[in-house]
Amino acid sequence: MKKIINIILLIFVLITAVFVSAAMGQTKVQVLTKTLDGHEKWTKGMKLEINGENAVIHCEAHPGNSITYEIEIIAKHADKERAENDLKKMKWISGRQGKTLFMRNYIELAAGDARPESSLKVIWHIKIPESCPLTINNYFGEITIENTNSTINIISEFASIELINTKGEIMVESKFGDISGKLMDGRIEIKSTRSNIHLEKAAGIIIIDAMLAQINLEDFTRLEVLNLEAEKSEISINTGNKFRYLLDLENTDFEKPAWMIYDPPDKNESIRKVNFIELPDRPIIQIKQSIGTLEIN
Amino acid sequence: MEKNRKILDEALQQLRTYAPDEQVWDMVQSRLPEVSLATGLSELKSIDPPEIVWDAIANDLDKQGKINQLKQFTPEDEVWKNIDEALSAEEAKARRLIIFRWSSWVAAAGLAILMTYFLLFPNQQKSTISYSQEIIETERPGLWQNEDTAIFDLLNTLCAANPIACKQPEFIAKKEELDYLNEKTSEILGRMNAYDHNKDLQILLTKIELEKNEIVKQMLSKVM
Repeated sequence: MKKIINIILLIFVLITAVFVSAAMGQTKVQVLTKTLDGHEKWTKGMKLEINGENAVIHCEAHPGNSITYEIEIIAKHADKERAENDLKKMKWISGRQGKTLFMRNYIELAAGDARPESSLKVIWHIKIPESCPLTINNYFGEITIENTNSTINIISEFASIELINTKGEIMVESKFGDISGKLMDGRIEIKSTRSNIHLEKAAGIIIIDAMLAQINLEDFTRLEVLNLEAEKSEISINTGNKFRYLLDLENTDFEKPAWMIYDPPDKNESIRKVNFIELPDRPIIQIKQSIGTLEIN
Repeated sequence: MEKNRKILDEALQQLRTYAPDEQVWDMVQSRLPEVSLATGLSELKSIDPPEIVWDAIANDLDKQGKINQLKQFTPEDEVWKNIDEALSAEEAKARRLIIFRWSSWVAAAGLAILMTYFLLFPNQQKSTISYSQEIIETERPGLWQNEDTAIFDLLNTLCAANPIACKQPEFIAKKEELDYLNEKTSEILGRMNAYDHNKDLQILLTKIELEKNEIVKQMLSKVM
């Protein structure tokens, strides 16, 4: 008898759980994951170009002379059959042209096909030699690059970008995708539109051209030059009194820190100089901002 | 046309007939080709060949003479044996060449098959498919429903009342910015999916909506 009561209670609990979860707005989703992996031999001078769509791209350097990849194509839908069909629509291809290895994922629709109903995502895990030049184009998704020492070229829209311990010539162009960098060194050029920028312990030559962004720069390790041009942005620089400054501010709220004393201005010169007399050998931080706020600490 | 044909016929009939001997005809026949040949030859042009032609003819004759002067020689058996061995080696070499050609063709065919394989299956990759289930929180329906129509209606009404203000470059620039943001909002909404979390996209949409609000406020201030 006790056993029967326990079973009834268990069924009751399960039914209640189902109804509660439904009331909370939960749904069961069928997840199909197709995994591809492989590798390509790398020789000096060979470049990698990635073209992604709805792609989460993780790329890091490894000691080998090869480019290895593991690609997960994920389709999610309440109906398993629908997920299976939509999974087939997400294609991943690779091929070599001259000294460039191309990799691409895209949604392929036949004539008259509707866009997939399933949530489709492609997760890339790429390992490249440290000095392999890299180009990434991505539309929606994420990009993470780690430990490289080469030329990096990123063009993306609606994709967040994270660069960790990357050296070399780095060019990033982002729209609607935040950029964060840690321990970057070399010639770093960032062009952002409606994308926030956060750099920590950056070194070398830094050129930023931003519109509608929150820009946060912290702890430069070996800065040579910082050239920051911004429009309708909020800039925060946390560096201490170690640099010379050239400030060209228009409609910008700026309260200078206590240590900052402007040099006497040149005749008819609207740009304000700091530390050009006091610390003449220090690297220059040049900021041109129209509309926004500036905070220097 | 002869007018006195009858007179002419009668005159001809009165003429005497003469038949030559057979010998005469034979002589005429035998001398005829000689006459035509002689006539033809006499009409030919005479050309003196250049010295170089005579030198070449002389050299050729000289060579012929020297060949004729060569001594006859019968080789020993060993020489014939050597020739025989050399010929056998040549045959073996020819056989090797045939084998080599065949193996080249086999290798080329193999290479073609391999290339076809790489073309058809360009990535040397492994592929697996796995299946799982997830419970996800469903979003409130209509969360990102487009509510811009009322704003645009209001702007249109105000512009109809104050068309000069709406033709100002600053207003037009704001309108273009608003259109651009609306376009981007549509792109994002097109990518959002009921079976995904969409957290980052929703944050982005919030930022865009805030910016759009700011632009609309500025536009309204220009026309009101």
